[in-house]
Amino acid sequence: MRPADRELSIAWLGLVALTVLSFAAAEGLIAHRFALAAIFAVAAFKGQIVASRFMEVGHALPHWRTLYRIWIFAIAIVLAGGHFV
Amino acid sequence: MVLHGEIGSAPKPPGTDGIWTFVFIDMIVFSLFFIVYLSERLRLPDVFAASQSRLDPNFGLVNTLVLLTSSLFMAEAVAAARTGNAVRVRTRLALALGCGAMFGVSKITEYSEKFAAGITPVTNSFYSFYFLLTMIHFLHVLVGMMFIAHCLSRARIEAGQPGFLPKLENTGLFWHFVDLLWLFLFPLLYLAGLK
Repeated sequence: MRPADRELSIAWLGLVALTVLSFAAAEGLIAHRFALAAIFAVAAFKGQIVASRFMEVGHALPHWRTLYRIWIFAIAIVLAGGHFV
Repeated sequence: MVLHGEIGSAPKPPGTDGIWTFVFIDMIVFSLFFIVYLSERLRLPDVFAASQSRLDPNFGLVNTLVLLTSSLFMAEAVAAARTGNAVRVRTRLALALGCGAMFGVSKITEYSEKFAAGITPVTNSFYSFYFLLTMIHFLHVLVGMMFIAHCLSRARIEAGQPGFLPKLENTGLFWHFVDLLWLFLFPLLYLAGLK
């Protein structure tokens, strides 16, 4: 396997693992106030993996790089925060 | 890591500037949907909680895994195009397209169950958002599948020609964005309602 393909496969494995973990956590722990915040934090982390490994945001023009990364964190904070108001 | 097959120079940004702009505008539009959703949830917390608990999170989980896998195949198709491996480009695009079709089947099954249970977009405020957000996302999936099918049909002739790689990268960026959106729709609609 070429190094580039290996990196993509590792990223995919990480994304799958995080998805299954957050699903299991949601089923068992969602009654806990901060479990939902953790689930959106995991979503943000997964979003950063998709952006950096699949979309190659790191090689985009600087303003897009910044805006895309900020959007992922900002939307996760908004979604999590909206459940705590 | 060397990208785009370039050695000794800064990698060229993937895709065209237009696709980065288009996708970011789409991101902003979805941000507004999310904010309105949250404001309605604040107004009607009991309606949202009761309605969310009737969604089947297994559909959300399967759809997430299917889209993540399709994103992997799409990224592998782009990587193969950069090395001039036209056969691998075609197989990876076909697999990505297959995953898109699986997502479609899953979504239609889920909608059918809801309609059979008498749940429609006008049942209540939560289901209005559920159908609106997921249907707009599904529309993105269908558009992405059309782009992938186009690239697949042209790969045999155009792979290796100068215009093919930017077209494939643009398709990939759009497809990954569809995946990225789902990564937030999944916890918002399905996981936040679990007890």
